[in-house]
Amino acid sequence: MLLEVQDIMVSYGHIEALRGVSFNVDAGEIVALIGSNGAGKTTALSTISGLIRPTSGAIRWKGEDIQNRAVERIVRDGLAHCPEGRRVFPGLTVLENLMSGAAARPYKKSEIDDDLALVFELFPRLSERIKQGGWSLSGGEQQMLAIGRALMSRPKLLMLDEPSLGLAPIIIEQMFDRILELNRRTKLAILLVEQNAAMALEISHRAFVLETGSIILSGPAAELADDPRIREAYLGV
Amino acid sequence: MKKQQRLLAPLLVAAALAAPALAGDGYALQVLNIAILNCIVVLGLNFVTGWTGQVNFGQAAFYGLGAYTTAIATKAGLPWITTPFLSALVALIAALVLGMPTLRLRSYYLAMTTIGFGEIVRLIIVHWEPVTGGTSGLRAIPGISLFGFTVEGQIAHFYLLFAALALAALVAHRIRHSSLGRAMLATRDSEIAAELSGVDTVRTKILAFVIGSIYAGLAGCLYASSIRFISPDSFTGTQAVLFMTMLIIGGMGSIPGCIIGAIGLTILPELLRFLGQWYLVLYGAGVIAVIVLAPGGLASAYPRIRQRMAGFAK
Repeated sequence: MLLEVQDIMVSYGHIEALRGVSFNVDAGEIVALIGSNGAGKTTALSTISGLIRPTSGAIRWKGEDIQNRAVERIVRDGLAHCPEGRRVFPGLTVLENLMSGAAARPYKKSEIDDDLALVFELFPRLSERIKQGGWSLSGGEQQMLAIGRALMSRPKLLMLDEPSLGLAPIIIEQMFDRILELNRRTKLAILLVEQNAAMALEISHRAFVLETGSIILSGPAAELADDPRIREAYLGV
Repeated sequence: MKKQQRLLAPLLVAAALAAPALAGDGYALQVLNIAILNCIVVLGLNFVTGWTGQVNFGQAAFYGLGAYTTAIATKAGLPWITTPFLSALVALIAALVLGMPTLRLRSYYLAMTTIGFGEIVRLIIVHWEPVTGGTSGLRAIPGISLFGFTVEGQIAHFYLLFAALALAALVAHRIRHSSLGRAMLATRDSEIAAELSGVDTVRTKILAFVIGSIYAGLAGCLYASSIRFISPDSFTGTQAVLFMTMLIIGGMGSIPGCIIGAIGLTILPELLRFLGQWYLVLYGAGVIAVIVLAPGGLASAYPRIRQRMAGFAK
């Protein structure tokens, strides 16, 4: 097992954001974490990547406890987190944005060139814009750049927080298509947090449903997509 | 357009090298020399404020530390060659002591810490009279001498300072395009995203602060041994705010911007001296005008004007 989140509790002051959440991700699979606004999805990702510390519970990465590791150390160990709202660096060019994603790894030019090539193959638009400032990109391009930057750390698991946020439906479709392609080609494990449950369930192998800080359902994505409770609450059918 | 740009740089350098001939060996050249020193100080400030986004109001104090270290060391009989190292070392230690606890925190704590630091340095200089000369300062500081060669006269100093500025700008340019430079800008743009990309933001902020302080310390060393008179007036909190203004007016994050801002705001008050107190009114209006018309500073205005001209040409 690649990532194992075991019974984590997280609170902001008095407010309990996560109340004993457990889930896991195996090598090579896409796992979706779905739920409505305020369910605790982003908190879960931020806790895994070390931005927030859990008050109890354990996070195991390849069998080792990482809940006390520094953020940049977790990245170096192969766990990349592509944050909500993309957070591209506006003052850096596209290429510099990608290169800062490689900040934590030992510098080997040939490996970095390989990874750049992969990013450009996945998102050819970026290769046309390498010298442009991050601020000048459209929302879709910024999302591509944020994913590309995360890939430059050469992760074993990529955590994506709302990649569909604020994008046009056609761009969302392309984005999910690329994410699926990435998983198929490189066998990269992906933990996908989404409000767009229909899209997320379509490309995932398994899914967990988070509601007010607790996992209420889990199982193979195809089964959840047919579950009447999910259909009513999240798919709107 | 590219061609013009490539021609521009050597032209500017040639004009700068010819400056002593035009300014003559006197007051004007002295002002120019101070302007060059200010350029180095502002380039230093640009590391921490322009590129890493941490507000530093202590740059004048680091400048002063460098100047007093050199003055005291050479007056005590140490050879000049030791002074750049001593000044840099003192600035480095002060920056580490201030930066290590403060820069672990996010947001504007550095601004407060450095304001306090500036005041402490000023008070020490003013009150530790036997060593620092108090408010009357230190006079007859030994000049620059390297392996028996001494630098005499303002023209020679001008060329030496000019070379120092060129080196300072080159080093800054190199750092900007290294992984450290990228880490600095990433930290400024989004600390969270920088950390998620694997950037050690605390280390990056401390390094930027330390490098910037060393720039100020070295400029202070050159100030003491080329102007050869120092007093606390040159290193006050007002001066620190002026350095910040030079950076903002010239263009945060731009090396040419730092140089334009520092030279402009050093020379302009001298040119407009005849206005007396009215100068302050003009200065205030000018700063507001730049902030409104060119929010990225004067350096950001150039590409915009060029774009507009290209629009007209079509």
